[in-house]
Amino acid sequence: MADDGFASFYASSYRRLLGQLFAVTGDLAEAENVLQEAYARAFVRWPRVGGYDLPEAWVRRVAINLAAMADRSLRRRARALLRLGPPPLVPELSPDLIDLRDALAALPLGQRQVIVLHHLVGLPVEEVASELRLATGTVKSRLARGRAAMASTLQLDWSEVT
Amino acid sequence: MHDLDTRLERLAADATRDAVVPEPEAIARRGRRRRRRQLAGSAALVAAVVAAGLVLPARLADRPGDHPVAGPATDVSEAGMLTGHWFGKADASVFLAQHVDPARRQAIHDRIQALDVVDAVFFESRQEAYDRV
Repeated sequence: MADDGFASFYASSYRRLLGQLFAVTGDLAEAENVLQEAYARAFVRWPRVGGYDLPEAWVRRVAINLAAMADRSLRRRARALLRLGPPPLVPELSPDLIDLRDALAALPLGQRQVIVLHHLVGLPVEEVASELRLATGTVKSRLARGRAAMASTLQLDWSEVT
Repeated sequence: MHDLDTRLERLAADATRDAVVPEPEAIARRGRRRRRRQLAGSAALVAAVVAAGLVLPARLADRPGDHPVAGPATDVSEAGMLTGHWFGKADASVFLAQHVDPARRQAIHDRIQALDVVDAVFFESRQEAYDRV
């Protein structure tokens, strides 16, 4: 493979994006599947995608969209299982992180997406709205509802945080 | 920093700590495979459209006879059997003057009867008509 920057971009961003996609999907195998598909799409368009200011944001957006579609598609999930094998158990998560993963997984996909983009990726509300093509008010509303649901599940108080 | 931020960062880091990062070449192969599938799909679609464009007009041109703009004429020859004697027929009345003589009446009868479209002609007096009503 010609080294035109893709390999280094891939190596430097893969694990970070995988963690973000895991938080969105709640399933490591599914996160790997959609992320690798997004990288594959980036590879064939690399002359264009590589010129973007943030190729990583492009890959993340594609992967999040694929995850949203996969969420509605049991067939894709079955194919991923066949290709990647059964999803491995998340290794050695502490009990509080298992609770956090379960609380996140219990949220609707739309709330999960905005919480991950805002709280894990660190995007401001406006950029989350832009990345998901939503209204800013919708993002704020989903953030508030998602945090409230998680706080209730985890018995924490996150209500004051924006 | 929000407590949720740090918790999510820990979750993402711990969950992917042991994940195997595929070689970039594997991603490239997947991308090339995907592109080949897309090209093959596009080629198949173009071929199908071209084939349809070549075959369909020829098959339509081979159809025998003119293409009618309306459906065939409706055959009502036996409809009268279903709807009674007067279906498809007309009942015409000819009113004669009060004092017409029998010869003239017979002449009128014969002339009407001679028409092709007339099945039967009968004479009815004024009294007979009133009685029928």
